[in-house]
Amino acid sequence: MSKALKVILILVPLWALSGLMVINTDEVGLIARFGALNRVESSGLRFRLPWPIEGDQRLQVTEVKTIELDKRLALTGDANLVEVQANVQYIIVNPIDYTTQSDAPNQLLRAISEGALSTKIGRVGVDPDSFINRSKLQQAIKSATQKKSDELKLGMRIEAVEIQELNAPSQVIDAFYDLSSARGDKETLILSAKTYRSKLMPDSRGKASSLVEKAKADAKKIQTDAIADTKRFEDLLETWKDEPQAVKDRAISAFWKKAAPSLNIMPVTKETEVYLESKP
Amino acid sequence: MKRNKSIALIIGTIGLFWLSTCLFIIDERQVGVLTSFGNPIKTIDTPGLHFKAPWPVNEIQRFDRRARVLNLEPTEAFTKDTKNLILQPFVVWRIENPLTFLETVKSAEGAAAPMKDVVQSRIAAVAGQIDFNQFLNTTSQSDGLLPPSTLNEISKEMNRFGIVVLDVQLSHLGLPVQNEQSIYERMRADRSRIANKYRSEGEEQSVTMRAKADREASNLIADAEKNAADIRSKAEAVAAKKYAETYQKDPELYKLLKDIDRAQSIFEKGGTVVMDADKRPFSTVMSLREKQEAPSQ
Repeated sequence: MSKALKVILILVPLWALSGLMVINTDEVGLIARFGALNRVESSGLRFRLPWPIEGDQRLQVTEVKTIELDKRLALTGDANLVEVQANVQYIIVNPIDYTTQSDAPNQLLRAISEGALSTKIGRVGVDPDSFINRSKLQQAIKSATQKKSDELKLGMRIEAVEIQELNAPSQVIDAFYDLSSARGDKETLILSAKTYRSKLMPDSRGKASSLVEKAKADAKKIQTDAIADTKRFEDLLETWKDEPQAVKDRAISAFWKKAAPSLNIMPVTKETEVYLESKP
Repeated sequence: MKRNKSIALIIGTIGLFWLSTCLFIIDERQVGVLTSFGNPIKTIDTPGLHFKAPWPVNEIQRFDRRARVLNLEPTEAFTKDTKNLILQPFVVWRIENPLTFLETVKSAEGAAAPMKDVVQSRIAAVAGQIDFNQFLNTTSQSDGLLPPSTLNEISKEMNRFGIVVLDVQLSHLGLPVQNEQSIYERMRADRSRIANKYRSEGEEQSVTMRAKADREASNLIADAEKNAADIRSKAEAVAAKKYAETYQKDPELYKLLKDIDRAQSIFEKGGTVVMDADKRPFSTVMSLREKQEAPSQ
C-alpha cells in the first residue's frame, strides 16, 4: 500500500506542474478550460491547470507569413490574357478568431486571394502604353482580400499583396515588344526632325545675316567710290576752269601711257576706211 | 478473500470508466449532437464540460463548426451571348444546423457531393443569364465576378442540409484552350495596329516639322535677299544723286573723264582693238594721240 502511495505522491505533483509553460516573445498561448476558451496568455513563464482541466495552444502573432499563389493565366476586363504570379503577406492579429472561426485559415486565405486576384484583373484593361498599373492592382487585391478576410473573421491582417510577374503571355510577347520598339521609332523620327530643324535655323540665320552684311559692304563701297570719284572731279574742276586744254592733255597722255604698250591699235576714220578698202 | 478484492477492483475500475462516459468535452471549435440509442436528440452548442447519460443510452457526435473551403474542379459554361467560359469556383461554408446536418449528409465528406452539384448547376445557370462582358469589363465595381444573387441562391439550396454558405467566388476564370488562340490573335492584331499608328504618326510629324523648318529657312533667306537688294539700291540711288549733282557742275569735264574711263576699260581687255576714231570715246583719246604721233613720224 505504501508503495502505491509513494507512486501517487510522486506522480501527482508532476501532473500538477505539467501546466507550466514558457511562451516565446513572438507567441501567445490560448488557454481552454474543458475545451472552452478561458484566456489568452502573453509571452513569459505562465501557468495553467494540468490536462484535462486546461490545455494550451501556441500561435505566432508577430511573424509576417507569405502565401505564394501559383503562376497562371488570367482574363482582363477587356478580354486579353495575361500571365500573373502574386504573393500574399499576412500576420495573425486575432488569435482567437484565427483558431475558432475557420478550420484552415491559410487555405481559406489562399482561396479568397485567388478570387480577389481573378476579380480585380477581370476589371482592369490593358493600356497600350503602360500595360497594367501594377501597384494599383496590388492595392485593389489587398483591400478586397482584407475585406473578405474580415467578413469571414479569419483574424488576419493582410500586410501586402506583391505581384511578382505580370506580363503578356509568351505566345504574344513579340507583338508587345514590337509595340515598344514602335514607340521608340516614333520618338527617333521626331527627334531627328527636331535635330534637323535645330541645325537648319541657325545655319539659315547665319546665311541671311551674311547676305545682309555683304550688301552693306557693297553699299559702303558704292558710297566710298562715289565720294572718291566726285572728289577727284571736284579737285580737277578748279584746274579745269583755269586751263582746260592742259588738263585734257594730261589726262589723255596718262591714258596712253597706261594703255598703249600692250595694244595693237588700228584707228579707223572715214579716210582710213577708204584707205583700207582700196588697199589690196 | 484476495480474489474477491481483485474482482471488486476490476469491477470498480470498469464501473468508473463506464461512469466517465457521462462526462464529455465540447471545445471552441466544435458543436455536438447528443443522440439517444442512435437517434439525434439535441445540439450541444456551448464549449466546456457537459453531462449525459452513460453509454449506450446517450452518445455524443462532434462536428467542426468552423468555416471551411471546398475548392471545386473547373467546368465549362456558356454565357447568354453563347461565349464559353471555364469557371472554377470555391465555396466557403459551415454547419448551421447540426441536427439536420447529421440527418442528411452526416459528414463533411458526405456534404461535398451535393454541394458540388448545387454550385456547378447554379453557376452554369447564372452564366447563361448574363453576357460575356458582364463577367469581364473595366467599369463594374462589384466584389466578385459572379452576380451577388448567386450566393443567396446557393445558400438557400444548401439550407436543407443544415449548411450555411458564406461565400462563393471564382478562383479562376478562363477560356477553353481552343478559344485562347483567337484571343492571342486579337491581341497580336491590336498591338500591331497600334504599332503602325505610332510609326506613321512619327513619320507624319517628322515630315511636317522638316517642311516647316525648310519654309522658315527659305523665308529667312528671301527676306535677307530682299533686304540686301534694298540696301544696295538705296546706296546706288544716293551715289547716283551725288554723281549727278557733281557732274552737273561741268558736263564737259565729265564727258572727258567718262570717255577716258570707257576707253580704258575697253583697252584693258587686251588684244586687237578696231575702233572708229570718229566716235566717242575713241575720238576723245585719239585727239591727243595724233598730236603725240605727229612728232615721231
